[in-house]
Amino acid sequence: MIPLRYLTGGVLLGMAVVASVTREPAVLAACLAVALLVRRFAFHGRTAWLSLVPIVTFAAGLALLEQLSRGAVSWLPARTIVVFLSLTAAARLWPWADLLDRARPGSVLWTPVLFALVTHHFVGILGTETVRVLRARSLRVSHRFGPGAFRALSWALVGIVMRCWVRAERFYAAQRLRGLAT
Amino acid sequence: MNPVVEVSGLSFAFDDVPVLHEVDFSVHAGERVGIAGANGAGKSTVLWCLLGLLKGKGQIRVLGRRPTGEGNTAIGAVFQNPEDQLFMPRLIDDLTLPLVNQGIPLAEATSRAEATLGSLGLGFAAGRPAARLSLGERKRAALAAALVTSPHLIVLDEPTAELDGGSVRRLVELLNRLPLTLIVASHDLEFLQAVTSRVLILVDGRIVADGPGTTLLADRALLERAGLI
Repeated sequence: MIPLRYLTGGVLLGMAVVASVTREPAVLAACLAVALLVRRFAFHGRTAWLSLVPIVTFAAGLALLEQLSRGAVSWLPARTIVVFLSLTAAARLWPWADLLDRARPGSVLWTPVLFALVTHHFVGILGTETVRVLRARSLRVSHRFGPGAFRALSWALVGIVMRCWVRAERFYAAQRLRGLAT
Repeated sequence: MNPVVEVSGLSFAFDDVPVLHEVDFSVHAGERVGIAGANGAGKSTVLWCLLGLLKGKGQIRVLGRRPTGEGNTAIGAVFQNPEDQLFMPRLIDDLTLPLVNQGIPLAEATSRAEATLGSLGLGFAAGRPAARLSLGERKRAALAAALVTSPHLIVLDEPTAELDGGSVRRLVELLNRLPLTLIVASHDLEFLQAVTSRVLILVDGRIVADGPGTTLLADRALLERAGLI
């Protein structure tokens, strides 16, 4: 099982690189299909899809800005989504404990693995905070597309950023005290 | 004997909003001090200043040095949210990390981490990620992560927040077994009474009372003024 998880994680990582440079819509679509397929197995529950709201909103904002500034939308927003989907699925599948056993302190792998673990942990926090804020919004907004719903959504997104900011600050402080941030 | 913690004239403001005003206190070795106050009274800010994570005006000496906020194995900190401290794929890795980071061989670090987890009744969780534990277990795990470096001083920020009665009782038993200098910020008066012998009461960033917990925590007028009851 562990070799398969390494292999799938590696493929997803490769896909993220390909998606970030390709100019072929077909390649991008193929990467998207594979990433979505893997996510279906790697993430469970309805909330898994809710965690995509911020990245989709970010990509939509990016597309809007491109349209306003130069009258055309590039593939950048689509690439952003594919890279995000591939990387989050890879992070979920990667056998972190096994990787940590292989990367001992002082080895070349140690710092990158530690960095990846911190990023992985923080993506989890981002997901949890996103779900929490969007759930709070849905309890207050009875009609998803009714009056005030989009205003509530935009404030919910601001709320996510603020909460993640606070969490990031505390996490950094805690690791700094443990001597890991220097 | 020099105090473990010396604070004099500590003032702090977030942007232009004053949070602490001329806070003075000292803590001696082996003392167990509670910092009580209502929400927003400045309890956590005092702790963050003690740890060197926030810089205020005034003098602070912890174990004879100005706190820098960088890794200091002599001080153990337990944050309100255990997820801010524990992020490794296995709890044992979270405990060995600061040790191997200091250059302690992995085998020795692992044995110290296992002993610490065992002493806190978490031996069963060594191979699990902290995220898979209950909140009470995660709080104990965060305490284990703070204790593994054998600190002289432990600082805890709202350790009983969101805990059920049983988990609070276990935490009290654990803390009372520790032969360490302890500073606890909390508005849980029963908890403070159970684990500390001296209490500082903060009101709007000022220390309004400093004395034995048995006396101060029985003073209803004071507690009402502090917004604690």
